[in-house]
Amino acid sequence: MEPTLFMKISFKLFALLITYTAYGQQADSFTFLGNSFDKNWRPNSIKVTADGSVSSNAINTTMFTDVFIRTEFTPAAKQKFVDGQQQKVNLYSFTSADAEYKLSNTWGIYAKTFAMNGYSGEKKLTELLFFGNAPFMDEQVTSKNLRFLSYAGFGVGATYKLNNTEKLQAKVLFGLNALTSHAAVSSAKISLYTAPMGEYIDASVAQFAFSEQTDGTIKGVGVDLGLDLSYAINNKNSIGLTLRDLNLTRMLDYTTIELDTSFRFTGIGYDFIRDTNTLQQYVDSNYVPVLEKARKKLKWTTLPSRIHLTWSHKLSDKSTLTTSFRSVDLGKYGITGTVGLGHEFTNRFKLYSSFGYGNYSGILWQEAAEYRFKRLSVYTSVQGLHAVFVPKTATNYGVSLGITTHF
Amino acid sequence: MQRLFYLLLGGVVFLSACRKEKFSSESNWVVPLLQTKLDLGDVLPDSITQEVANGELTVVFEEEYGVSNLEDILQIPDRVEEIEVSLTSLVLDDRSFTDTLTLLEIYPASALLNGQTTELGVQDITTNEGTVLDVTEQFFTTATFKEGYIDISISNDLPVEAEVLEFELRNDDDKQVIVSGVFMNLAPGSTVQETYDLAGLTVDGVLELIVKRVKTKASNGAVLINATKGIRTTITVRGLKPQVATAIFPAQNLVERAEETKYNFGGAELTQVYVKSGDILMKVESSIDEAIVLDYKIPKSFKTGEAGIIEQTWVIPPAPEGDVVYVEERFPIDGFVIYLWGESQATLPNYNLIYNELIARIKYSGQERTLSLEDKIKIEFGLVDVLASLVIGDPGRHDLSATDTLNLNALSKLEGNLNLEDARVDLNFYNSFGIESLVDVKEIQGLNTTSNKVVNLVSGDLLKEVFLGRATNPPLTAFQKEIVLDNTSSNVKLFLQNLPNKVIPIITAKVNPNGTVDQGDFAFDVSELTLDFKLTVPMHFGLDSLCLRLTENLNFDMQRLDNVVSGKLIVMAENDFPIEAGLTLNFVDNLGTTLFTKTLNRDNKMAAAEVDDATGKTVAPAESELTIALSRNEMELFKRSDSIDLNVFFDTKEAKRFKMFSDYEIDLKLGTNFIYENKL
Repeated sequence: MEPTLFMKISFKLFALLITYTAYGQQADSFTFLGNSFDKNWRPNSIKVTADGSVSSNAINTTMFTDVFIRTEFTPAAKQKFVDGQQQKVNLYSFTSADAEYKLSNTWGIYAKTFAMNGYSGEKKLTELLFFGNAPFMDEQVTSKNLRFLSYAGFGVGATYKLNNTEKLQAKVLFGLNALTSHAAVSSAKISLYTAPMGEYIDASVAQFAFSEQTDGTIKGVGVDLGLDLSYAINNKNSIGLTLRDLNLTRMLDYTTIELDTSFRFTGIGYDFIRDTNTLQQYVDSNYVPVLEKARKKLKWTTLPSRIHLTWSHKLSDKSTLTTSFRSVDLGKYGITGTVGLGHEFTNRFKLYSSFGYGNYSGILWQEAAEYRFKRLSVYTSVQGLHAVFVPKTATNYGVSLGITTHF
Repeated sequence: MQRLFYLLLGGVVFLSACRKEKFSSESNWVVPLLQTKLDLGDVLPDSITQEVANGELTVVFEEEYGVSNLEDILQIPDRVEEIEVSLTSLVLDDRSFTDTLTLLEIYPASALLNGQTTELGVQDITTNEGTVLDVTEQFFTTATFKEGYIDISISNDLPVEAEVLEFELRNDDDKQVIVSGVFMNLAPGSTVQETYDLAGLTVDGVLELIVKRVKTKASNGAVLINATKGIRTTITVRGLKPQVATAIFPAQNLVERAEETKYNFGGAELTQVYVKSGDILMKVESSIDEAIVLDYKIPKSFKTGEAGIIEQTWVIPPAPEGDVVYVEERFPIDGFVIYLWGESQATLPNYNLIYNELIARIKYSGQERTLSLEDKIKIEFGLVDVLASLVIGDPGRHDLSATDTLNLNALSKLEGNLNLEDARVDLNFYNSFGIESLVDVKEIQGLNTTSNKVVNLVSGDLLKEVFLGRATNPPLTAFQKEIVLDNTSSNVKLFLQNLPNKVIPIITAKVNPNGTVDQGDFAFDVSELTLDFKLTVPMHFGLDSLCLRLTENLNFDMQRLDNVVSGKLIVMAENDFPIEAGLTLNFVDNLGTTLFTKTLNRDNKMAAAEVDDATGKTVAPAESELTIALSRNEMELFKRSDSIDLNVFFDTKEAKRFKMFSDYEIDLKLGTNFIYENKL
């Protein structure tokens, strides 16, 4: 039996079982695969979600799994990546845990933790940075628009119901963020040349900037804004807009080095992805004054915001077709489009399947399910199911868990 | 239900807080460790003994002193001439225009008689009415003439004699009379012509021709009446040289200049310059309302293997009215040969003169322009930034001096191992100028900077000036002369016993001391007058080998090597020495303790450089790439290393006699090929 067919049958049996064991419940919308948590805005209710995903247009899921649960790359998976024909390598991972508690009919509070890693660079340079310069001797390796950003932190704040009618629901979030780590590298153009037998390594950079980490626990603090809008165009169609992580962050004792120059490296391999604070010791001493001159105080920064636009069309009382568009940092760390179908098997159980494509993820396949008990709803979503069957071809996976209740 | 909620919540928090397992990824880096050079100054004293070995090395310290080159003798200065000229002449083409005063206009009633044969009576018409003639297209819009003539030609096409014909030609605008006259007794079918001078007159293109009086005789019997014929007037302008004119000008030369430009080469009298690089500069400032074409050429020039002379044409665009245009351009003349005879070799003087021609002209554009003899054009032109590859002529006399220093750093290290009895100094004088020179070696000082003691190298051969004859060409063959100073002819042993680490010759030279007879001296850009100072000293050495040693710090952060899991060293060597060499690396910690030693094996040696039999010196360094594997244990010790002692061993067992030149060196580059562990 084909695995996909097996999965379909198993899933239907599972859905049927859940439907039969469920007991009667009000037929209002779901919390995670709907918007009842905000629409009902019931005091003393709480919603907790945890998400984690990693995606790339070129790096396969076996390599992700290697990083997560093994101690080194699987040779075949690494070779598959090296043999790939992509011009660029994009990588994006995001993990978060969010909790929101409704205090009153209009106010709520939230808390969250988050961690993001984003990278974009041309493939040859990516291979050089990750696997070394030995295969690239006497070769000029160049990349335009190199970007790397990694940060983690937590935030707290309030939520406020702006509007709640059948036609329009609107919620705003505002709070404070604190960063516990932050590293950034960017360059309009970078090229590395390793002389034959490694006599020297020449690096040339244009509009190159990288941040230098500080020792303090808190790297920066800032304001954080978010917005949820849901508008019913008519009985069948509705649109939604979700904005997250609109922020302005004050960095604490942070510096960046901004360069348009060339270096001749004289030291041992420089791991700039992990170690951005010691470039100076790896370059010829003649360049030290250049680095000193290029060092600037970094006072403010903005972290990538996320935008999620949806259009939902009711196919029937039970089924809804949803088209969505997501971008991270206005597309700098990915643009994704998906089409999905949600179906309520019972008024307790809803399933949502979607397919799509993103320039930081490749092909996307997501399955999500929510089940409601009397006062409790649980939710799970799995992204990149095809990674189970073709892990060396699939380039993304993730999981999302959620629970909500009221006291 | 609450328990279930807390259980699930705890699960969510647990899952989201899961830490990654340790992961590492290996990367393969090739990076440089150090780069250094070893020469005879790094010789290890222990490797030289007092024992007389089977073979013998000869240490050679050699330095070349440049007494002069072409730039010392000759520099070609920029020579830019500036001329500001008004237009020397303007010309307009000869043109003609014909107009007819018909019988109908003279005698309107003739319209009734047209075509008939009848008698015609006396006509006497007086009028101030004229005919407007627009000759703008045929002549010009307006012009004030410096020179010029107008021919008025009148033909009588009437069937009767014109007894009186009085006319006037004037500008239609200001009514200024240009010409006027009276013609008498003009028989039918006859023509008369009168010429008038236009000098000083301003003539417009729109004229008015007034036939003030026409008196005709009666016909002698019946005549055929043709009312369309009459008095035909042809106006011809010729020899026009306007002072100012608004017109469509024909092509013409505005400035013509042929000059001999004199150059000053600081006493040299040159007849030919072979240009290695250089430009003709042309800067033009023009107020002329017409495109100016500049033709510049140096007729007495050529380029080997190519036809043509130095010749260039520039086009200066028209100046906007009341404004000035500026143009600056350069024309490269690399590779050209220029004769400096002037216009003719037969006319004296026939040196330092470049004959050149400049023409400023306008082409027929079909556009109406206003040009005046008052218009100015300022031109700067000439040769700039000229470097010669060869000059021929009389270079003039030059007195030069040179003082330089030769460093003998290794000499003190070799003390006691040198055979001073057989030491010798070769002075090789070299002259590749086609010019005689007289060189005076005033002193050769040997300075020991440690004791601050100076001993001069003294020889009877150096007491008189050394005459150096001309080089010959082609092919260029230098004149050379050698003076050998050994223990029989000089105090070279005493000189060396001072252990000089610096040798300072003081030399003067007279270039062209006897003058030039036929202006046939020459100097190439590669010509030089030099003194090659070569100190040759035999040296004793041990049976096994001669060793060079150098210690280099590893100037990178060794903590970074914590992530290196394995590696090998790569040695890239460029060996000037004519002897195969081995290498031993001692890795030393910060207390000076040798942690481990790596020696290149017998099959892994630095190759010897090839020797030129003619000079006894190696031609080019021999390149070798050698690999040294490091075991895991050695890798750990390497991480603790603070410096490396580099020991180079020359294999001298073959007992050959080698010359060891003091500028020999081994260029060593030490690189690494590491497997680096990136840990996440």
